[in-house]
Amino acid sequence: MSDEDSGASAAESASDLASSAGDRPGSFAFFSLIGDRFNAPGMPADTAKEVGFFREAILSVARQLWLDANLGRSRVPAGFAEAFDLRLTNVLRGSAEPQLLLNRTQRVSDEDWDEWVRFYEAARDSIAMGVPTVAVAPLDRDRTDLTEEARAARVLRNPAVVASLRKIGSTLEQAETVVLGSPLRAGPRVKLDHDMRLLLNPRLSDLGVTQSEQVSIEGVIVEYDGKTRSFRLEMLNGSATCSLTKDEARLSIQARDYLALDGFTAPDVVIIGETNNSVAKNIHIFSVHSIDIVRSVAEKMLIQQLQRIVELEDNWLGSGSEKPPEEIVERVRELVPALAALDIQISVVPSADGSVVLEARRGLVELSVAVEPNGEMFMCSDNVDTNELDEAQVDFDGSRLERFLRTGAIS
Amino acid sequence: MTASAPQDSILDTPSELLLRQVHPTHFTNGVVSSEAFKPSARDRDMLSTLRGHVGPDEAYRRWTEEKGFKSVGTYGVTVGEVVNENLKAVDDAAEVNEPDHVSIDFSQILSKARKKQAGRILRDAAKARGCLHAPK
Repeated sequence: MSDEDSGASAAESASDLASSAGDRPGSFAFFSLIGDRFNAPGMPADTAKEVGFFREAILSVARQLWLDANLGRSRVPAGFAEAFDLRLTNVLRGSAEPQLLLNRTQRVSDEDWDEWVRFYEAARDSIAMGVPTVAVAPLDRDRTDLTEEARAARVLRNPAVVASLRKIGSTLEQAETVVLGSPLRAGPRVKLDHDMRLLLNPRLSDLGVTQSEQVSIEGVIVEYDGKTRSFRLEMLNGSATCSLTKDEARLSIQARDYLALDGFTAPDVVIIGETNNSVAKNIHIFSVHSIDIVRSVAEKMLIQQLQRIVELEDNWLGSGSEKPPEEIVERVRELVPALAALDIQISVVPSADGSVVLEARRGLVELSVAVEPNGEMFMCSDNVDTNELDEAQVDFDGSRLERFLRTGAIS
Repeated sequence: MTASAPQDSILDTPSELLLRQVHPTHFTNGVVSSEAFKPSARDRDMLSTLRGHVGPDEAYRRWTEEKGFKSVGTYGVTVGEVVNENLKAVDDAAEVNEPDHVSIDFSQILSKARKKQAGRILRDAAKARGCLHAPK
């Protein structure tokens, strides 16, 4: 049987089984083990781990899908893995068909949960759609005219995903089959029988050994080695050792220019390069071909000051003092790029009445704007030489605030 | 404490130092904010200080250890500098039940800008004097 024949056969067989098995309302995924061993009630205890392999594979793919959808992020959000709480609640008679429910944890917000479930479901479907494609043809990573199945297959080339996919079906005997995928009859499902596994495993081996992937990660450059043309990027959760593309003097200059000798005072950058393992805590990125600033030092300083305000609690300055409400902090945060571009030193401080106060100095004039919880802002200019004062109490207006700090003009 | 403080509770020795703690969020880019020397309406326009004889170290200790608040250090302004801004330094230790407490009363200033300016001028005076005690 040719590769293509086998792939078509697997897809058809899965389709046949999807039709006969019908919908599984309330289930997160369809999962069925077929073979003599599975005809008795329940399922053999030593094959229960196949469910665990399936869960692990879905989570690996979901991670990759989330990172692909959030360029510049190197880690999925905290709790993303823990929230994927797949429960085996029952085993239907006939073939061993464990019912898999996704348990909602109360520790995740509605917004996060809704977003994450979409990635978990997309990952489940990507496995069902992508595995047959991986099995029958090598992946051409440069192609852009990809079918839905080929796009799904491309996600599966991540080494961590490959490692988890290889485990599925590994405990089964030659005559045994696992079918997995969507709980809906019309959704994608894949049948992993012995022939399919024979085709798939060498492909996965190739992917695991030779394929790298392009990654885009954000951080600050904290070390640079001119001899090896490499640098270390400190990220929010971990670090990356990065090697520059050869013969790109521009990149060496950028890496040096953006170097933070103290680990902070340098712009945040996004770099693009290749890696063989994007999920490691300390990853190696080679062929770095792009280094771009995403956040200037001035922006980082303002954000840091805002963060200190966010961390305040009520009564922070004595009994009755209020921390500025979140929406007031957010109003100022939205202005950070514009304020950073003013090229003047701005201090962002809290007031005991819950305002966020921006202070700057232009020559002999001290400028301040209190962004108040009542939706207004108070602007004040104070000449430290003549004590001349000007002031205005107006509705909050970000453009006017920015103009005031830029020009010193109240009106 | 209110603006109608008894006359004998108003401090009148110009050289007497009043000690003020500066919260870390009021110390950014190496600069003390004038917000550190300006009370809010919630404070009834009274700025808390301690009398100079307490000492900068002890004032810091009382604020951070006894009361559990944060401070980058103790700064000081004199009663004379307070009076120059048409403010009053009022001994209200008994009223607030805190030994050696003095409030600088901003309540006679009605303009928000003028209050901000008075805070700035006190800040400038304290800054010129330098930090009197900072934690090691």
